This record gives sequence, C-alpha cells and structure tokens, in this order.
Amino acid sequence: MKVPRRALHTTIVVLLSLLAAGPLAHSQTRRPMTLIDQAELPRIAGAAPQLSPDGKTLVYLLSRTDWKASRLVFQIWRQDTAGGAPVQLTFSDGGVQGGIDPPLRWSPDGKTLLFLRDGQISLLPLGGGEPRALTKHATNVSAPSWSPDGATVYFLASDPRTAEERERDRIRDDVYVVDENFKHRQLWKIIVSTGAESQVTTGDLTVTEYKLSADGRRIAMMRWPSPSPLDAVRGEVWVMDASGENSRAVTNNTAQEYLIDLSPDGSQILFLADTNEQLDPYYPTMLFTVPATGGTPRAVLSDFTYAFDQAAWTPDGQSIIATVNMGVHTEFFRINVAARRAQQMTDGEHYIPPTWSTVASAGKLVFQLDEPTRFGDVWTLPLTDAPVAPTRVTRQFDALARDFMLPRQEKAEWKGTDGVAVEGVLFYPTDYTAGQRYPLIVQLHGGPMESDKFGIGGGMTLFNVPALTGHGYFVLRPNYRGSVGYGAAFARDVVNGYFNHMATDVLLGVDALIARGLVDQDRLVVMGWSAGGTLVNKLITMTDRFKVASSGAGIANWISLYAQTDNTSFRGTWFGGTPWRKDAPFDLFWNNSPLKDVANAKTPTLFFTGDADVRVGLAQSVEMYRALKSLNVPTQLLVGPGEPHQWGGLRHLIRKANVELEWFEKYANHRTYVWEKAPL
Amino acid sequence: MSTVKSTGGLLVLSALVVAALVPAGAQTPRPMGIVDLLNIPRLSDPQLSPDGREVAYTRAESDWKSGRRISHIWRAPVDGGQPVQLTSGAEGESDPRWSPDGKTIAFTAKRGDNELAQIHLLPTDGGEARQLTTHASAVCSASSCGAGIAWTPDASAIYFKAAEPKTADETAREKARDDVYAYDENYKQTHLWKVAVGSKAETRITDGDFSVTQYDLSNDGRRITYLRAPTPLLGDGDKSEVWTANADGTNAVQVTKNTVQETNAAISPDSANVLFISGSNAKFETYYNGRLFVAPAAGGAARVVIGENEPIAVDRAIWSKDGKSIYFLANLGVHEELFVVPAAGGKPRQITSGKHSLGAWSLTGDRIVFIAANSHSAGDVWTMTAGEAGPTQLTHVFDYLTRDFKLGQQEAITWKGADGVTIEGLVTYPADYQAGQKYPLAVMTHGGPQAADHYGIGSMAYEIQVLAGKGYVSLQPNYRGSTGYGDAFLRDMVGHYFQNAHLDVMAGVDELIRRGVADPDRMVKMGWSAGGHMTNKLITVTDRFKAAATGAGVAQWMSMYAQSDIRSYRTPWFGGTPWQKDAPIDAYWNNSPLKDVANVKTPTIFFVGERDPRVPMPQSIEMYRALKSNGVPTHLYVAPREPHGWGELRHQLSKLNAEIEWFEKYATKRPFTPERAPGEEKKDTRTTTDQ
Repeated sequence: MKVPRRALHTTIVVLLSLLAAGPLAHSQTRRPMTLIDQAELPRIAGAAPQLSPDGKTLVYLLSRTDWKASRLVFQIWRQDTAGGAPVQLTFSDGGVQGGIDPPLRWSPDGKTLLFLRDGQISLLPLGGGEPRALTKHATNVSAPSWSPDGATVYFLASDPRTAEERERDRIRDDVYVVDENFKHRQLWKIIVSTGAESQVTTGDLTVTEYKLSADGRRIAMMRWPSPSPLDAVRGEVWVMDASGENSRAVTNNTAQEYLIDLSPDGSQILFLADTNEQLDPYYPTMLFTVPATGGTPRAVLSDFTYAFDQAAWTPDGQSIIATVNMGVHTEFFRINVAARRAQQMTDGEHYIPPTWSTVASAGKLVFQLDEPTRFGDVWTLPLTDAPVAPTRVTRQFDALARDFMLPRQEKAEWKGTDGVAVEGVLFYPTDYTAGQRYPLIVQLHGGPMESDKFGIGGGMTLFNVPALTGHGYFVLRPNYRGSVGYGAAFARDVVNGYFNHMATDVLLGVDALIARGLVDQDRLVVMGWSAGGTLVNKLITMTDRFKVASSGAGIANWISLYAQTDNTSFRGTWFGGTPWRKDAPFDLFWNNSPLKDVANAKTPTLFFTGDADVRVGLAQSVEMYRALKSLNVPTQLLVGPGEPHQWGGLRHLIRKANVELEWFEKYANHRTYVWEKAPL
Repeated sequence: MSTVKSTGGLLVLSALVVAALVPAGAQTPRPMGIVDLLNIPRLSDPQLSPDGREVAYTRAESDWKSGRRISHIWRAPVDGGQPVQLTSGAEGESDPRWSPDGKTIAFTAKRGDNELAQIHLLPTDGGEARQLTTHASAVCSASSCGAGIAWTPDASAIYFKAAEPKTADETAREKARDDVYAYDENYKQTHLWKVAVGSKAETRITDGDFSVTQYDLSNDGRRITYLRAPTPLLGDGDKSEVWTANADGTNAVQVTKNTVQETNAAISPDSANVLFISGSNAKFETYYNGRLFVAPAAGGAARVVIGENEPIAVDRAIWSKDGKSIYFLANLGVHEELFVVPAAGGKPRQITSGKHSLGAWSLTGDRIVFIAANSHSAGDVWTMTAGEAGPTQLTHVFDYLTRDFKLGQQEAITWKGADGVTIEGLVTYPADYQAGQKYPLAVMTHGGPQAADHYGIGSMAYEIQVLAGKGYVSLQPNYRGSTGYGDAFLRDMVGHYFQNAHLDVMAGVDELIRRGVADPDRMVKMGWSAGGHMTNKLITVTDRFKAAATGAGVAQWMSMYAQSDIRSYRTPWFGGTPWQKDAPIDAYWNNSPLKDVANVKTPTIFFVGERDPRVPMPQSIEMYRALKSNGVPTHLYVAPREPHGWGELRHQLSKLNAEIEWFEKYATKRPFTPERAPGEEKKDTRTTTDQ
C-alpha cells in the first residue's frame, strides 16, 4: 500500500482509526480468536527483517506452529518491496535459527543471504540454487556479520568443552563449580572463499556484541569478564583493529553499556545504558556517545523524558535514529548530534520492536509496526530529513481483522494516590456493548523497567489478550509506577522501597474503570509475569478485591531472591545495598517482600514457573505456593519442565492459558470452562 | 570382582581370592586415602534363616565403572565358615527375605529388560533366581522407599508396596511434551499388594486416596498394621496414622489420631496390640526423643512403653516371639545398644554393650543378628541371643582395615557447655598421634540435628580416618539438640535453634586446646545438612577456623521453610510458620546464618546436590554469593543428579578432594595432590578450578 506524502502523524492516526473501526464492523464469519488460533497465527518474528542493499527485496523469518515439536519453527521468506506474493526460501523440518543479533544478513553485493541453521552459518545464493553450510565450528555460532568487501564473515562463538571435560561428563565425574563453569565467547572470522576460520579475540574475556567500522578496518565491541549477567556492570566498550590487534578500552565505569554502534567515520561510538548522565545506575535508558579513542561518555540528550530502545547512526554521521519508549507507544526520533536536538518522526497507536535497521545504500529504514489489528508487518521509511509517510511492505496480517473479532484498544488514564498521572492500555471485550459492565483482567508487565504498549506485543504468548477479550473480559495493562516512558522520577519510584506507589497505581486504575461503568467490581482478576508476578504476589497480600490471580515467575522473598537470580545489579538500588553487607537494609528487603504479609492472602492464586528459570527461580514460587497452601487458600504451582524465564513450549503455554481460564471462569465468573485441545 | 557375571562356585572363589589378596599385598599399614575410604564395603539387612543356622545380608561394593556402590546378597553360616555371594546382577539386589520354609530367598532387583524393580525368588539349594512379579510400577524395597517385602507365614504369597503406575493419559501427555506439572501434586499414592508365589497373581490389598508408607504382617498372616498418610510426601508425615486391617485389607481400623509422625508400626504376635515409635511425648506433642508406644490394635489410647523422661532415643523395635516383650535399639549418644523390655512396661534390660554403633538388625525366634560398626570397622554381622553373655562375630569383612591402614584411635570425651550442662563428643586422634603434640583440628558437626554422632569409621561426609591419616585430630560434638541425652538437651533448640548448640561446639574446641591436643591456629570446620547449618552459623560468629566446608547447609530459615520437603520440626524451632498471622519472623531471621554473613572472614566452600529436596541448592547459593560478594574466598560445588546425600562415587571423590585441598591450603598450608579414581590415575583431571 502506497501512502501519499502527507504530514506523517495525521496519516497514521487516520489509518489507525480506520483499522480500529474494522473489527467493530459486523461480519458474518468473524469470531473471537481461540487459544489455538493465537498459537497458530504465523508471525514475522525470531529475527530482524533485512532489506537488500538495493532496497528492492525484503527477507524475514515467518513462524509456523509445529505441534509435534511443541514449538515455533521459522523459515526464511522473501518479499519484493515493489509488491507481489511472498516466496518461501527454506524448508527444512527444524527451520532456521532466530536470534537477537540478526542471524539474517545480506552480503554487501546483495547476491548472497547469510543465515543460521543447526548452529552454523549457511549461505543462500539469491540468484538460485541451494544454500551451503559455511562454518563447521565446534560450537554454535551467533551474531554473524559481513566485512564490507564481502570476503569475510565475523561471528561470535563460545569456547568448546575440552576433550578432558567431555570425558569427565561421559564418566559422570561431573561436579561443577557455580559461576566458574562458564565458557568464554570470542570473536571469530571465516574467509568465505576458503572456509578458513581464525579467532580474532583471545584471552580471559567474553565478547557480547561487536560492530565493524564502515571501512572494515576497526571493530568496536562489548567485552565482559565472563558471559554471566552478574558481570554485566563490569563490561566495557573496547575498540581494536579488525585483526584483533591494538585493542584498547574506550570506557571504564560501573555502567552496563549495550547496543553499541560505530559512527560511519569510525570516530564515535554510540551506546545505550540504563543510567543517568553521570552513569549512576537505574535510570530510564539513555543514549551516549564516546570518542572511539576513549574519553568520557556524553549523554546525547541530557533532559529527555523517554527511554531509548534502539539507536543507529545515519549514513552521514550527523544524526542518530532511535526508537523511544513513550509509555503506551514507541516512536522513531531523529537526533541531531551536534545540536543535541530530537525530532519525532512517527506517531501512532503502535509498538516498534527493536528489530529495525538502516540500509544506507538504499537510503531506507526498515522496521516492524505492532498495531491493534496488524501484529508486526514490515514497513520502510526513507532516511530523509523531511517528514515522509512509511510504506508497508508485507501483508502478513491482512486477514486478521477480516477473520477475527479483535479487541478495541485505547489508552486509559487515571491518577495515583499522590496525584501523579498514570496510564495503561485498555482492551475491550470483543462483544462489548456500551452501558454493560464486564469482568476485568488486570495484566501486569515485567521489568519493572518496561511498559505495555498498543499492539499485541507479548500479549499473545503469555497473556492471551485476544482470547481473553473473546471470553468477554476487559483487559487493563497498566503502566504502574516503576515503568519507563514517563520520566526518571516515575521509573525510580521503586528506589528505596520497591512498593512505594506501584500497587496502589494498579488498584486506582481498576477503580477508574469501575467509575466509568465499564467493569463489574465483583469480577476482578489479576495476572502477571516476572516483575508482574511479583506485583500480583504483593496485591493478593494487600486486598481481596481480586477473585482470582495468576502469578508467573514472581518473587516472594527479596532476601533469598538477591542470591538466587543471575541479575542482581538493579536490586541493590531498590533496597540500598546488598542484604549481605554490614548493617544491611534488611527491613527494606523484608518489608517489600510479598511473603511478609502472606497471612493476609485470601485470593485463589495460580503460580507458574519454569524449572530452568535462572532469573526468578522455582524456589520463589515454592515460597508463595506453600505459604498459601498452608493458609488453606486455593492454589496450584504449575512447573514447566525445561522452561527458562520466558516460557516457549507451545503445549506448556496452552496448558497455562487453559488452567488460567478455568480458574478465572470459576472464581470470577462462576462459569465452567471447556478446555481447548491442541492438535496432536 | 564386581563385574563377574556367573553365579556359584567360581564367583565365590574369586571373591575369596580378592578378599585374601588385599590384606596380603599390604606389607606395612599406611594412612587411609580418599579412594581407600570410598572403597570400604558396607553390610546391611542381616536376616536369619528360619532354622537359625544361616544369615543372609547385603554387601555393597564400590563399582567405579558405573560410579556407584552396588549391593549383592551374601549368606554366612552362623556356626562359622566362609560367607558365599548369592547374587551378582548388574544393578544389584536388596531386601533378602527367607521364605518360612527356608527353601527360598526373595529379593527385589532391577533385572533384564524390566526397568522397574521386581520381586525375584532364589532357591537356597542352588540355581538361578526367577522373576515373580511383573508389576506396572517399581516394587518398593526397605532401602529405597521405607517398606520392604514380606512373606505370608504359609509361604504362599509375598506382600509388597508399590506406587500407582502412570496413567495412559499421563504417558501420552509426556510424549507430546504437554508436561507442565502441579508441584506437590504430581505424586503417586503408594499401596499394598500381594503376589501369589504359585500363580504369580497380584492382588491389591489397599486402595484409595491415601498412601501406605510402611506395614507389618501378623505372625498368623491374618491381620496387618500399616501407616496411612494422605500423600507419600514427607511433608505429610505428621498427618500419617497407624491403622490395622484384615490381611486382605478389609475391616480397616484407625488406631492413632494425633498430629505427630509414627514410624515402625508392628503388630503383636496375638494381633491384639500394635507397637510404634514417635518422636513425641506421651501427650503426642512433637519434638521429643523417640519413644516406644503400644496401642490396642482395635483402637484406643496408646501408652509409652519406654523413652518417657529417659536419656535414650528409641530408634527401632520388634516384638519378641511370644509377644511378652519388645526388643529395641536405643541411641545413647556416642553409642547405640540393643535392649529388651516387657511389653506391659517395666525395666529394660541391655543386651549389647560397646564402643559401637548398631546398624540394621533382625530377630528370628530369640536370636538377633545385627551390624556393629566402630572406629576400625564399617560394620560386620554379629549374632547373639538375649541369654548369651556376648555376641559372636559372623563376618570379618573389615579385618583388613586394621591390617592395611594406620587408623586413628577414637574416644569419647566430655566438657561443659556455657550453662554448665555436660556435653559429650567423639575425638579421633591422628593416626600417628604422639601425646603432648598439637595437631590441626577438624571439627565436624552431625546432621539432623535430631541425631547423634556414634563411634564409627566415618563416611564421605565425615572422613575422620582420612584426616587422621593426614595428621588431623577430629572432634564430633553431640551439641545441644542431639538425641540420646534426654528431652531437655534435645529441646534446647525449641524456640530459637541456635541457643546453646553452637556454644557447645566451641566449648568442645576449647577443651581440646586445653588438653594440648588441638593447635588453635590450625582449625577447620565442616559438616553436612544440619552440620552444614552449624558450619554456616559458626563462620558468622568466629574467625577462629582457618577454613570451612559446608554441605547442604541452610542460609535463611524463612526461604528454607518453604523450599524443604519437610517442615514439621522447623515449626517448633521458631514458634510457628513464617506465614501465619504475627509470624515469629525475628526468631527465623535471628537464627539465620545469612543475617550475620557480613562478619564472615573464613574461607568456606559449599557443596550441594542439584536434586536435594531437603536443603535445596538455593540455600547454598545464598551463602556462596554472599561470601563472594563480600570478598571471602569461596566456591560452590554442585553435583548433578544428587539428592540430599551424595551417592555417586566420583561426586564423593570430588567432594573429598576439594574439601581436603581447601583445608590443607588455608589451615595447614601444605600442598595437596587430588586422588584419582581407580583406573584413572594417569589422567590429569581436576575438579576444582581453584588456582
């Protein structure tokens, strides 16, 4: 769809209103999405979509639901930006690999597409013919990137287990030492023509990310003392020659830098850090630049309310393009580095995932938009200063609003106990009739340095917004105190006593919906995951207004959690130090632990946890569950075998959703629920 | 030897040859090494034949190929002569039980293609064992799940306990990876069955939403008593009760109704009474030394037979043949003894006496067979009758230990606690001890804490003789909270846990320094489970120890209360749950080693099994990360697959290597060469990453 050149925000707003009206229009065949519909909806996900150097071709990963393997399988698809039908390029049973560091990469000449399969790099000739495996590395490779001349591919790979270690495993001589049994991740390169691999970095260090300079002669990287998130604050920005020689530290501080990018002339490095200008911890993400020769990092914008999600230099090196979290939506900004002035490029009811990239040769920005009725189509935007409307390239979600009744989304606003404005996203029951009151499910995001936005985001896998609204529930996703996108003071409300306004913000948001006549106060449900689960745990000890609750991977006891988690850096800020130091702030740790007041809990509550979760381990959920059990509050703790902090097993997720709906319907609606069955 | 597959004469011969060769090969006694310790066999489960002329027992040997100890069934004549190995299955055997006619020994084993333990029958006059049961779930053995197999008096059938099998739906869900499970609810109830020896027909005896955790068949085979719990989970132990029923399961009658856990239910020969043991007082209030109770089998008030207000803890009891008296094993602190007491009540008579600990025992007629261990034996089989002056030793498995190794002498000493109460403990001297010289001291605290350290040769958790070989003196204090010293002594922990317990340990240390035995500048502290809790506590109150090692110890009692599979005895320690209204959080926190972890200066290593349900890994993580964050030298060693007690030989070897290396580095400042597993001596592998 070509969008006429007009003032961008107007276009988007009009567009979105049209789309929002879509699902409300009557249709004979439309129905609410079921859990199975949600699970089987193909999505552009797993990897950042990549535009060819000439801007004519887009490649992306599309998911397919493999019930046999109980997971999503990704295949590569191609879409010409000029139009036409998408074409599937790969077909193997296990699919290709996704990843945060884009595992899909066009060669500089646009003739070859690099992708990852079975842990190794494969090259697919775009002119025809089958892909060939390039690497035969001893361990799985990640973060591949081409040298500018296309002769070399760089990648990261963990050191392999030694023969001795493998032998010890075989004979089960396998006692290991916690926090010391890691393998470093190093930068490697492979010559495309010969297949010769060589190691670029060596020594007692781990490379977590890297960027090649535009001329291919220098490399900027993040170097950590170990791959453990516990060591993230000890990571620093380094630069070196492409050969690995002449490496030097660029930063030296206690902040965790990430998402580094070298300026086109190689003189500056931009990075993000969750700090203030002085690099003190626990602030909404700021954008910094630092000279590649070293020096003091400088915040590009010193007084900016919003949190940065992703940033990249423009091809001329004068500006930085960034996506910025503005609470219930994300937008592109163009920042003039010299003038330190930011200009908003987009505006709408959407979320822009951090999967975008700039393609200098094509003069384009390529990105996904997660919108209320299109859960992540790919768009492009010219890299010009003038305001231009984006162009949609994919049509993956055309059928969504045609086939299904999707919930209306709107921003809800209310005030906290201290008068501070709080907002959230409100999803209407798909059969909403004005004047009628409906049951409400409050859904609490993780982080807590996060925010819930328009679109579907994580609202499908863990939170099932389409299906729950289809069952006649309102869903409120509040950006409670501690969320980002609302300034430093809002996010830092959790400093020195986690639950300062967080829980009351949620309860007042519920009150506002009751006051508006939308919600039935006797049919309230609360659910959350991670920090959202922790907040559920807190809420059930404060009030019995919720008839039923679901808490995933939440915290019971901050003292024990401090030791159990793989990420402690920000928790010290919440409570004023470690619980282990001299005169430790025990009272703050304990008074903010949901377990302290668990004797008050009366709400029937489901708990979920993965037995491979290293962020908020099983032990925390066991503390809550066994406490409620001993207090005779209806409860169950459901454990996902092999699941990390984010559950991925499709049948695990379907079971979670079924159990939740059964409990919600039973305790809040006094209705019976018939489980949805996943195909075998 | 353990790989020999044949049965009969050849096997016996090879066993004898090896047994004879080992001591002969050793010219002069040497210090005991780590592998030497791990290679010590263990005997258990002695059972007399009905004619009283032979004893069957299990003997476990270290098999370094599989990395486990494997038990086989042996038989020894009571009137002297060489023991004979009867079984040699790759997975081992347990629970040898003589048929009433003496012609068959039944046992449980995993054999062949069947991945589940089943009952097998071995003819005593020669030939291979044949499989009797084809149960859909594993048949329980006394060692694996608390209740073994039992012959009916007429030898026609065998009772056994087994968990309910997985349903077809559950199997299908697992296959589809639809395997989310509900914590604490994914158990299988265990029930009682019997199998007819002739037809192999299996019949269910109990059924319903409860578990039979232990049972006993009456002498005439017409009645049974069993312990019935709402679930098989240990956490529900307090909710278990004694029941009696007809042998076919009908007419079940509940005998007890209280809030404490009973164990060792046994029905009297006339089926009129049931005896059981409980760690409670006569009013069935919890947390007391073990008492022996008798209750009418038809239900009614239970009375204490022995244990009320006496400085003993009853551990196990058996009815005499005529039902007029009861034999029982009593924990007397540093030693254990067998007694017999009139069932109606009265003065008990002590049968055994010695510097020993007693293991498994059984009674046939009036003859007892038992395992007795001491500082130089892991426990041979002995026998005696109540009328005999002293016991007769039936096996000599451990004679080689004194021949081959320089072992430390062991003695009990006493000292006064801070409040003047007498404390007892065991001292094991260095193997080459010379009076007047000071030695590095290893202080070891036992687990439980409702337990006591007895005379013995040590274990992988407490390697006293290995340390003796390296010149350490060991102290094993029976600190406040230990059993066998009366209720006041045990209940010192009620309301706080660390009241006198840790002070008792330090007073014992001072006593050994005062005696000029221990060098105050070379002291180390170690312990497993509650002994680990104690270690964690002591490093927060003193830096007198130069190094410490904690296995499966607690950091924080609030989180521990939820994480552990047992809560019942933690509630009395702190005066309630941490979850109740006005919970006694101060008692929980003030007794948590983590509270004062900022004080720790002692280099400390931690050990924990990945699958420990009792003191789970997060507790060790809390201690480890706290020390690490505070800059105290530390490592946390984790063993995959291991529960609360580590079982795999290579894991045990890793633990002992890491622990002794740590002590030698920080306390004695001597180099240490880790020992290798047999057959791997040449490989340069190291468990520790310490540099």
